[in-house]
Amino acid sequence: MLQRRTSFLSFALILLLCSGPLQAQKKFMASGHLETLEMVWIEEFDKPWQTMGTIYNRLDFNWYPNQHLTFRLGIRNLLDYGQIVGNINNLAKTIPGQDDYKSFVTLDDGYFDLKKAWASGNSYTLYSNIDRLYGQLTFGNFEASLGRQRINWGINLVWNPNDIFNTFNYFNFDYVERPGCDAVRLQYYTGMTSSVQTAFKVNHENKITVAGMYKFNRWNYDFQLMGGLMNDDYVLGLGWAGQIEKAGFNGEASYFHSKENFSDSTGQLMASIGANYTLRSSWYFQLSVLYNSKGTTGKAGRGNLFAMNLDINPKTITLARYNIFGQVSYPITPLISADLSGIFNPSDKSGFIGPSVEISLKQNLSFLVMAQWFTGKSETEYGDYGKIFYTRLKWSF
Amino acid sequence: MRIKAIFTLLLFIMIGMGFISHAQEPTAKEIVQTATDKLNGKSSRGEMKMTIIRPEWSREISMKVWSLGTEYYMIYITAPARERGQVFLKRHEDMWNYMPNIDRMIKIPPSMMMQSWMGSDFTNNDLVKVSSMVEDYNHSIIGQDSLLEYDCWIIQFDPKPNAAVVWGKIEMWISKEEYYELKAKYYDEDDKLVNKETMSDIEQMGDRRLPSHMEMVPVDEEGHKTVMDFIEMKFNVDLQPEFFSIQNMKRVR
Repeated sequence: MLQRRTSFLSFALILLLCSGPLQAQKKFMASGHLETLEMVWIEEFDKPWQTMGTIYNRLDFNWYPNQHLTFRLGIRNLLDYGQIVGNINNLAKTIPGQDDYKSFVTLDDGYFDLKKAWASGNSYTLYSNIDRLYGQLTFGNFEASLGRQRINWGINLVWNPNDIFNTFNYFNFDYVERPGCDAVRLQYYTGMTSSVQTAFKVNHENKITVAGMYKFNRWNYDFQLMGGLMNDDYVLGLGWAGQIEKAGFNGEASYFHSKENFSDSTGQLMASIGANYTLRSSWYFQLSVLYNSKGTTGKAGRGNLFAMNLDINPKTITLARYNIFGQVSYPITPLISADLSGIFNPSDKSGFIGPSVEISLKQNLSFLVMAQWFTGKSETEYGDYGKIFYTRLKWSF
Repeated sequence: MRIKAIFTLLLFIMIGMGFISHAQEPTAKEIVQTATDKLNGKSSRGEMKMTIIRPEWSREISMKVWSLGTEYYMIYITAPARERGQVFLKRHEDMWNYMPNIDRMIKIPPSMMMQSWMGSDFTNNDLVKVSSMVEDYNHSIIGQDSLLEYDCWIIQFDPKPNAAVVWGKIEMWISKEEYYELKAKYYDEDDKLVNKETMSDIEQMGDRRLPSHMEMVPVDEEGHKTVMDFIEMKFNVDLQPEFFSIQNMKRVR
C-alpha cells in the first residue's frame, strides 16, 4: 500500500516536473474574428445600385495533445443578406441551370462537402464552412498532415502559378485565410532552410492533384522546384524569393501540359515576377507582372462578376497574355494605413484600382473603407465588373 | 615589527592592485562588448511586452523571443489577436516572416529592415540587431556621469566606413560596476538627435540583474514613445542553431 502510494507520489512528481516547462505552451488555443462587411455594387452609375451585407465569424481551434501531434479546426459562419442575394435568386428563377445564391456559396471544391446552409430565403443565406480540419504528426524532421488543410506553394505576393493545391482570388480580399483542400502532405526537412515534400489531393470532381517540391536556400535566396499532376495536366514549376540590392525580388513559373493529348498539344506557361521596396519612411512599393503564354491579346473577359469567383486555378489566374500589378502603401500613423493597388491589362486596356484605408479603432477593433474600381470596355478582362465599395468593422479575438 | 611588515606588505599589495586595476581600465570597445554580452547572453529565451504610446492612444504587442549569439533570432507574437501566431526568424543575413493562418512564408528583403516594426519606434533592424553594436562602430569614452545613482561611462559610437548602420552617431551611458546600459542617444547622419532611450527598473532576470524597462522616445514628436518591458528572461539557455529553422518556425508557440 505504502509502496503504491509512494510510486503514485513519485509519478505525480514526475508529471509535475514534466509539465513545468510545458506550462508555458498551452495545449489548446482558440482565436477568431467577428465582422460586418457592407458592400455597394454599382454596375453602371445610372442603373440601380445594389447592396449586400455580410456578418462573418471565423473560429480557429488548435489542439496540441502532445509534442508530436497537432489538430486544427477552422470554421467560417456567414450571413449574407440584401439586394444582391435577392437579385441572384430572382435570376436563378428565370434562367434554367443558373445557381441560386445558396448553391453558389455552398458549393465546396473539396472531396468532402464541408459547407452547409442553415437557413435561406430570397434575400438571405446563413451558412457555415469548415476550411481547416486536419491532424499533423511530427517526428524529428518528418511531418505528415492529413485532412482539410491549406497547402500554400505560392511565393509571389499577388499571383501564384505554383499554388496548385489551392488558388485564391485576388479580389476576394476578405478571405485572407483562403480555402483549404482535402489532402495528405508529407514533408521532410533536409536542413535548416531546406525541405522535400509531397502532397496528394482529391477535389469534388474526384480529380487528383499530386506533386512534389524541393525547397532550398542559396546565395541568400529561397528557391523551390516542383513537379506533378494538377487535375488533367502535368505541371513543372519553379519559384524564388530573394533580393536585388535592398529590394525584394521574387517570382514563380509553372508549365502545364495536358495529360490526355500529350503529343499533339502545346503547353501553357504561367509566370509571375515581382519586386518590392520599402523606404525608411515606411512607404512601400510593389510591382508585379503576370504572363500567360496561352492568354489572349484581345478582350479577356470572363463574363459576370461572379464567374470570377469560380474555378480559379493556376491555369486561369488570368485569361489575358499580360497583367501588370502596382501597389503603394503607407502607414499614415501606426493606426491608419492607406493602400492603393491597381491591375492593368495592357492588351485590352482594362484595369482595376483598389484604394483602401484601414483604421485601428481599439486594440482589437479595426475599420476598413475600400473600393474596387473596375474599368474598361465591355467584354474586356475588367470591363464588366462595375465598381464596388466596401466598409468593414472587424473585431479580432 | 612583524605587524608593521604585514601592514607594509598589505599596503604594497593594495597599491599594486590599484595600479593593476588602473592599468586594466577597460577600453571603450571592451565596455560595450561586456555590456552587450550581459544584455544578450550567449543565448536567451524570454517574454516581452511592447507598448506604443501616442498622445491620443496606445497599443500593446506581446511576444516571445529566442536568441543565440547575434546570428539567430526568433520572435513569436502572442498579442494582439490579429497578429497572434506570426513568427519572425533571422538566420545570419536571412530573415523570414511566417503567417500560420494562411501558411505563408515571406522572405523579408533588406529594405524592409529599416521599416518601423509593427508601428513602433523600433525598426525591424533594432529588433533582430542585424548591425552589431560592437563590430559596426568605433567606440570612445567621451565622459563620465551619474545616472540613477550609478557611475557611468559615456561612450560614443561612430559607424565604421561601409558599415550598414542606420545611425550617424550614438552616445551610450554604461554603468561602471554592473555594465548596465542605462541611457542612449541616437543621432542621424546630420548629427541631429533623433531618439532618446532610457533603461530602468533593474530586476533579477535569470542568472543576472538587468534593467527590465526600456523607453524609446523620438525627440521631435511630443508625447510619442515606445516602451519595452521584459516580463521574463533567461540567459545562456540550451539553444542550438537547429532551433532556428524553417521547420521550427512553424512549430514554436
